[in-house]
Amino acid sequence: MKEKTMNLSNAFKSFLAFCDRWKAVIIPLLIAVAAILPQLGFSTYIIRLMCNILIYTSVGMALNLLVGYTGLVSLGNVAFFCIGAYTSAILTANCGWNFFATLPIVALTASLGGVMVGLPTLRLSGPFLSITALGFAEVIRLIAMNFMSLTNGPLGIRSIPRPNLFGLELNLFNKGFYYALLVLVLLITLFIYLLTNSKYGRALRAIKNDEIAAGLMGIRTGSYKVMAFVICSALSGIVGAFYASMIQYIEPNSFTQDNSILTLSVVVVGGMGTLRGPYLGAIILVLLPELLRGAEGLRFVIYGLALVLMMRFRPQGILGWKSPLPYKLPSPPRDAGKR
Amino acid sequence: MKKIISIIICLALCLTFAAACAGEKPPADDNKGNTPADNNPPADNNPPEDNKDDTNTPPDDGSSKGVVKIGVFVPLTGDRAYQGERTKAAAELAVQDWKDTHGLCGGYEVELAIYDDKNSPEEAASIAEILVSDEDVMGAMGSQSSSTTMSATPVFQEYGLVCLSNTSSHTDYTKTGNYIFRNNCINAQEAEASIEMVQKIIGPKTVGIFYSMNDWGVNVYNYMTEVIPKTGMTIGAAEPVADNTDDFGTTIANFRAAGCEVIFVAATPDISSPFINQYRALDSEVQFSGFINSYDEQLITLTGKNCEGMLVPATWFNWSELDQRQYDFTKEYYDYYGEEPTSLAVQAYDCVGMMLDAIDHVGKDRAAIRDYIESIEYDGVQCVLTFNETRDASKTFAWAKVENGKFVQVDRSQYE
Repeated sequence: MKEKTMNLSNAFKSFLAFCDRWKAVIIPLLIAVAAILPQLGFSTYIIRLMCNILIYTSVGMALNLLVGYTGLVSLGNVAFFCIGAYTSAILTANCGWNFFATLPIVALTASLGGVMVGLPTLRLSGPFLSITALGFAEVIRLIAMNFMSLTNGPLGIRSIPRPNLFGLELNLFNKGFYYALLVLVLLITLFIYLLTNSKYGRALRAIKNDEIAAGLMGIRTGSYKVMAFVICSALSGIVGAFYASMIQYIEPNSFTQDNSILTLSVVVVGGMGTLRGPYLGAIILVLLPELLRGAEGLRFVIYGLALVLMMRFRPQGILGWKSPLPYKLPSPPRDAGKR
Repeated sequence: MKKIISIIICLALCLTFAAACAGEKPPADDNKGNTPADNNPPADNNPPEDNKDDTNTPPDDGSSKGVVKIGVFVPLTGDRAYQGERTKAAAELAVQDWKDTHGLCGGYEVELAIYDDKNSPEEAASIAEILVSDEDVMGAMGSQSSSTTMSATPVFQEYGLVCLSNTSSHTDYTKTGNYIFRNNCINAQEAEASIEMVQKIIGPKTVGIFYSMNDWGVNVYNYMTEVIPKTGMTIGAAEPVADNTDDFGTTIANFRAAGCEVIFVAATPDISSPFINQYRALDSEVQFSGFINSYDEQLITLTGKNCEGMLVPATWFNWSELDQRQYDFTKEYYDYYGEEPTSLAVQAYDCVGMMLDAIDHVGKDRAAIRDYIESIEYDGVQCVLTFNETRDASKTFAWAKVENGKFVQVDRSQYE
């Protein structure tokens, strides 16, 4: 049994190594498949599912920068998503702005939210940071609930327009919305790729591995952490704007903690700190509940069980990377006890 | 070699994008369009014109021509599941009754397509996509709250499928478009009925408003703050409450400090019951008045004697001595589901009945079903249903009161 598991594990490793070797071919091929998929005559329901996958991939990618690369586990990502959705909805539905014109404002307001969480939590990490972010998300939801004159409170904002590009409305029927999301997710992926392979990305990884050591090496950990929050929040806000435009009706209960947990699960299931992880995480976590619709009441029990089993057998995430070397504490000097 | 392959794939990708954009024609109108033609639904959703003629006449041998489905999307899991189960039971009963009395519907077998939306707007929108994509679905009913339903209505409107809600009371609900109908009273109507009932039966000077922080509660509250001052009553205090609250000590203290004689309780029984129990423990004199969702035996079960004397406007009355049909339906529903029907369950039964009646008359044609329902005069179990220009069904209210652990009808003529 153990041998079989080992064989399976080795085969999976070989597959990942093969993918790595041929990524220059595989990546364009996958993008081509993603571009062709909507043209295969799927129903709008399937197109919507694909849009949901792209939305959660994008927001997972943003959160991955914080959780996977910087080691800051945030349970409040829905706050930025909510800020982005409301900013765009108010500007498009109430003020008549074009959707794409709202995106810079969306990024700005959401990143302000990022600063508001990032600055006071500079010295926090682990569960303390998670709880603070969780509280911030609840504060944002309550503001959306009670600031009636701006957000329309529990009545929500309806008839949110779809994106309009030079007179062409991008909706699910003409698949324009799907392509807009595909471009968004590719841009975010490229951005994160460039960022994580720069000096900035190496600094974030250093902070994740050992914040004190990073500080001693001259990295200004505080400003890097705040910047990670700002980038994550701005990207999440932009994805939130797309979400509002797809759903066309938002109210405060659209942005509960479930959303934060789902996004974090996307990152963890796929594999933290990898570019490919959020893609697979989003595909699994969006499709699984839909595939299990037939199971009715047991649907979310099976869903939860699948996650628990995944965490048991592959804690680093399905496509996550874990050092094959066992971690050993450096042995103390031989004369340590004598001094 | 790898570079050459990747360049070829990238070129193929660019060509695909170009072909995709050139091949797609956008809808003629936006999703807020008010005419079915303008919404440009997918071609496969519109059967050819001549289809209308033969759908009405069942085959001579009595066999079915296929299947028609009514979509039902309600919460079957989560904290609103108990309400969704009632709607589901009412819909199943309506289909069963139709089969017993008519057999086929316009020559088709009738089926329900039931989905659990968890009372989640995102789920409801996804389910709406499933329903509009299924060519056999000729109408939809749902969900439990206006906010959930309203995330699905743009989809129904965009693809031209009738959505008939038995629960939505949000004023803007039917404004999504002409495929969206409501078989429920709007917030203002039930608020007006509750105010009139309290004013005529009790006539208090100071009242309080206890309302849920959701679209329904806030709409009711907004309407009441406009109307109550004109009736001569004063609003002593108004207290919002978030879902899942179970300690109302501060809220009750505020109502008592303001000297409220009657409390309008705009919340579902799961929230209003602990509030009533805690209030009654401190004050035996205060009176409560509810809204149509308070006409629910669950409220009496959860509060016991504490809700004695509570006034409730009802669009439906169980075990009616005045209407044999209502009495019979109550018995039938009780035998089927094990509890008395609420107003919302009765409305669900009538919604499905209306859609089946429309299919029976015009066949498997979504646009024709919409037109038929718009001008329908349907003899429902609740009342004779017609829709006004905003596609809202007309409703009348009976007055009910909790007496000796059950709802009894109040004779309105005594107070006119």
